[in-house]
Amino acid sequence: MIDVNVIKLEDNLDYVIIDTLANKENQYFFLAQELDENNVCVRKVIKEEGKEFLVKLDNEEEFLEVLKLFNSKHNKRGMNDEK
Amino acid sequence: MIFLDNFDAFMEKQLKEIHKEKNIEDIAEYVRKLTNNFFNFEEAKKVVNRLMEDENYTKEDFLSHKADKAIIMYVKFKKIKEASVSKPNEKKEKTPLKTIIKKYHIKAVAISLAAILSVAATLKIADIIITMNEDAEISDLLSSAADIDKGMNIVLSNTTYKGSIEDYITIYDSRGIAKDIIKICNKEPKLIDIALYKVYFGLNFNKLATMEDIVRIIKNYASEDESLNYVTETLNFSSFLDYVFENYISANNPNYFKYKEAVKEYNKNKSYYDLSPEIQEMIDGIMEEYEKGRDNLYAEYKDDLTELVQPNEGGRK
Repeated sequence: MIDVNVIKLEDNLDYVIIDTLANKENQYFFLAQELDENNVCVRKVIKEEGKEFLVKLDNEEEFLEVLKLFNSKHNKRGMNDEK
Repeated sequence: MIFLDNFDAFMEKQLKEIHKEKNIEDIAEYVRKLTNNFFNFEEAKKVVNRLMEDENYTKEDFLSHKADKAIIMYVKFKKIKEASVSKPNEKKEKTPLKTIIKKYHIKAVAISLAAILSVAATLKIADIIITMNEDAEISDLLSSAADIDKGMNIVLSNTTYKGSIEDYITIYDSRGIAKDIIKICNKEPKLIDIALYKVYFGLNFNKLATMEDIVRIIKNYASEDESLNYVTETLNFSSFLDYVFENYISANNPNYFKYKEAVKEYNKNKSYYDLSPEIQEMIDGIMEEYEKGRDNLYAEYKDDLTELVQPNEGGRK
């Protein structure tokens, strides 16, 4: 029994923070809906006027970049590794 | 010979007829149903065409259900993408990071583990589909999907505790390192608890280089102030409570009967939050006893673990 970090997103549902990843430019959060772990989404951290917010990603390219980060961390083979 | 020639021609005609009956539309309709209407008919048709053209799926692969898992993973991938990427002209909602709260969650690790597995699994499939890797074979895709299903089922099921972990880690442990860890822990099976949670949670077996790494990790995890019920929470907290009660609660413990009652109460509904505060307190007490017992256990076996690292001897034994 532990405490976990939870945040309420724009759909008013609670999401558990399952992972954080970063590249040179941004930090990303992987979130899973509290009541349905298959309902997963990614959010990016942005800073505005000294405050930090989570927002959706800009486009598909950014999404694929984040997935590559995730894949290289969690899967045995990176997305571009030799099969 | 004439008969055989005719027979071949007849069979060929029949096969063509059969295939004709199952056209792309039929398959697209099947995909639409398979994905529970996630794709409408036209989208399903596009997916079928894409898989056939880009991934060399054949009609037969669809009709014999060989492509089902790939489609389901594809849908999962699309769902994650839709939930993550803002649509053109969509106003981006901003969620202040400071609204993150700590929440007491009995199934926290189960959620995290299942979610990470879900994403990791989806990406294995998405990797093949999305990057249109020319070397990708259907068999790669299907064997990945089969492994994923197995792993997910094991994690989410209520099968027996130790066996499940071993089954599970084997999937992610292509180099046999998990077996070494289990071997190290054979002296005292409870040490497996200490070692395995984060190793398998992080799916990091293949990043461990040497035996020293393994021992270092076991020692680190054992000394961390983390409850080992993480491991069992992901499997079956009820079984875990029974296990702790049997192995860590002495009959001389002043709370023995209260603990016993608490376990019984928990097992009725298997919901921590539905218990009375008094019973919750007892469950917490059982976990504290467990953590104390684990620390003592680690202290007892610390030297044995240290001895496993041979000076000037790199690599795995």
